[in-house]
Amino acid sequence: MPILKKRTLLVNQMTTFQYKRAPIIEAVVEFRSDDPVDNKKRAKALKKLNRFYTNHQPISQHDLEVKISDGQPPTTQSVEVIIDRLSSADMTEQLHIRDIAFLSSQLAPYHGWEAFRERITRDWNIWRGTVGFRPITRIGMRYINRIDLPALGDEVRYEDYVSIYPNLPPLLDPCLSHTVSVNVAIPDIDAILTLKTAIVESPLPNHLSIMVDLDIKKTFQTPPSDEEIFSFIDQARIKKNEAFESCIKDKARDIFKL
Amino acid sequence: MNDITLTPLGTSFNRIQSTDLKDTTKSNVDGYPMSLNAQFSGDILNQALLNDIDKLFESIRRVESNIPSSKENNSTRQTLDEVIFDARANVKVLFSEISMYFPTELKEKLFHQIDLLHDTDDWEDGDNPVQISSFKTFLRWFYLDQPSQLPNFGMSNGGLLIATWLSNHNKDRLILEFRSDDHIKWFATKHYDDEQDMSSGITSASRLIHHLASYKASDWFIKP
Repeated sequence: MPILKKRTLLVNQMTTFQYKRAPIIEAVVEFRSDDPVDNKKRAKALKKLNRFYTNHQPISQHDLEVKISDGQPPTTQSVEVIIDRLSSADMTEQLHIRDIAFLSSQLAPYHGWEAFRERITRDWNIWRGTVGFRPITRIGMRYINRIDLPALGDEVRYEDYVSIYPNLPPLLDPCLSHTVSVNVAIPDIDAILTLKTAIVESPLPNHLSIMVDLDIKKTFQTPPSDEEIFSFIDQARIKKNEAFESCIKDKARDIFKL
Repeated sequence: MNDITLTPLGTSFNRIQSTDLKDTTKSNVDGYPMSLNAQFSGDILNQALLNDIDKLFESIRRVESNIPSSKENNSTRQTLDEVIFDARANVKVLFSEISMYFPTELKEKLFHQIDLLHDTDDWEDGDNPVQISSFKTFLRWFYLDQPSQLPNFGMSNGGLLIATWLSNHNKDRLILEFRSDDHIKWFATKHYDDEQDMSSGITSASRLIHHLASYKASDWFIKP
């Protein structure tokens, strides 16, 4: 696919401090492998990981497999996948384990990257130490932000808060809702950022919300070492912050600082 | 079991003043009134209101109770556990979505009491877990009025979240029952010398504070 426009994300943005009221409603880091873990080793690892989580819920999920062979009509098959969801008592810290994926999630309130990274490292070391080496083929990092905009009367001027929105001709005004999705290359770390924004109903009274969803993915041809895995997520997190800061304006920052 | 049924007292707002009302409220160690027995003469609406409050209190489960239910059925235990776990998990996730606006103390107290209220050892036939629509109304109201004095929490048999404030040596009470779609049922009891003023009504989350204006709601909502 041709690259429409090369971009280098801004570097000179705020990337290290923590907002008082961080708008992050969920942060996710996922390591994925093509080599499934057998159930015995998985159960052993879960037993060790359970010490750090209050709840353990096996969740059944059905994946649909479509097989296409030459000269044959496509066939579909439903495959049951069990996901072990471990969660803290307040549900904000979660770990999802499936045969080919290790996913760590932090719901709001977000206490900063250091705390989240520490938990990922702890759990990954237990997992990796128990199930053994599995070649990682993809790493994903996703941060879902919700910016709550106060409504003054019936109007919310989202352009004052974010810099990403559809550019509409004056005839098509006012805009009642929108969804924007773009894929952006991040050459520095050889990854792809999928950025989505949308206007959504706010959970707060007299507000309207904008979601800013940043999803960074990188696929690996050669399996990375643990050191390379964590080096990548550290860099991806900086790029995520730069991308987020470039999408918002000072009026939005004022909301997070209150 | 259905939600508690309240005797209609009016369209949306009822105020009753009684000058001949003896209140023999009992409270448990946590300040939770366990029953209300009032003796008075005259106004039949007063009786209706007291009956309502009686029903409400009877339907609130005690959060400190450790008495196991004799009606436990092991064959349905797994399903019950799952239902209750999901209800608790869902409200906690909902809370997390706007947790950045709330004090940590609220989360600690609310989650602790939600967990106690959903103790499967105390679960009885007809009990329902907390309704997420009720919990949502509570969060939206709390965001608007931001009381610094946190309430004690209870739950109706129908799964509606209930918040209770006590003041004036536990004689003055405010009880809020959070319903779906930002609706709140409120019961207020305030003593002025020898007189007792009681009222009840249904309003919206944004208008509650106006209804309570004449009661000096700060006595309940603001930490002394």
